[in-house]
Amino acid sequence: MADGGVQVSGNDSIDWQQAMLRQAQRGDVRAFERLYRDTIGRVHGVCLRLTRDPALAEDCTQEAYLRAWKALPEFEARSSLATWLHRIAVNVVLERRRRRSPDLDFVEELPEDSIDVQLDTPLEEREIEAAIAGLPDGARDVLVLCAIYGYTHGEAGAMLGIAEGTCKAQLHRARHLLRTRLGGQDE
Amino acid sequence: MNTPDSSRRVDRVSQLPQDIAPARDLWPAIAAQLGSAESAPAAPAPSRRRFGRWSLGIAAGVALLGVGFLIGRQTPDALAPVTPPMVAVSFEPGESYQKARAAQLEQLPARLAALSPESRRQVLASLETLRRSLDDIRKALGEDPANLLLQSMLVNTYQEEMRVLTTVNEAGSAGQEI
Repeated sequence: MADGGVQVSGNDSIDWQQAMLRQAQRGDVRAFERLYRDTIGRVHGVCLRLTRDPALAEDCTQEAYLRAWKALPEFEARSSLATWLHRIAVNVVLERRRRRSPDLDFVEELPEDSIDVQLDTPLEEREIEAAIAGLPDGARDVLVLCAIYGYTHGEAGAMLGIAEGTCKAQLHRARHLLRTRLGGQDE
Repeated sequence: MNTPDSSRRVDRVSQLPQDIAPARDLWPAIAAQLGSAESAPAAPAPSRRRFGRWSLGIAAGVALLGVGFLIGRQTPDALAPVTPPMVAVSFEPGESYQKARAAQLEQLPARLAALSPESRRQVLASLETLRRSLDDIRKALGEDPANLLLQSMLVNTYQEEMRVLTTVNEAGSAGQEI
């Protein structure tokens, strides 16, 4: 992860995120706040793309940071903080999804014009984001984690609790659906 | 049939921004719920095999200092929160921290004068040990700038020095013994 690095005299780079992490692991709330500020965009980005609901995404993001704080002592600095936070955030989103009203379970796929995700992005990006948001949950989850956040099928599968082969199939499906929708033709 | 444009746009997915900031700052709500989290359990101690020669010596010095300081103080809960030092280039704290430190040092002689000889001796010994530790850590960082443990220890030691200064000055202004 590139964030958190600070250039010092010469060409040496000090990863202050690691120092802040150690401070936070000792219970320093201010250090945890700095970690939050370093990582919030990426964590919230995943939550928003997986939930498609800004209010729910904010709830999930908050919950993810609360869980991260409690679990900080178990975090090993050798792994990436961003990946660890993503894993927690994905868990929170999936739990919320499971807790959804059974009446809504059939709504796996939303029409694109029903999606209330407003992003301050250029038009083309917005169209692509809307098309992603309109994908079925399983395909969208994999596309977001693999294509946008760069996780391998193994990593994304582990986060989502699915087999690597399923992950690959879902990504293939997601790309096919996306290509069709962005090309403006019927499936 | 897929058009070249639709394929290009699908390829654009990997170039979408990874960061999307929330519409509002979520930190106040998170901080409010941390509750007793300030007393979160400490992380397990890292393996000694990862420590260098300097790290071991400095760790011992800081540990001794911590014990000595804890013996001397009676009201740890009264410690004022301190801002973690913003270490800028050349491993030195930022200007605001230096100013706060200078202000604390300016008050120190008068506060020390109000303490009992034994407390005064303990405070001065603690500060001297901290200064030696800071010198050792800076020297070690000069040899191994990327050492995360040393970086963390430098921040901790600056904080510890500020805690000592703050405690002494607050106790002195309140007419208390430490």
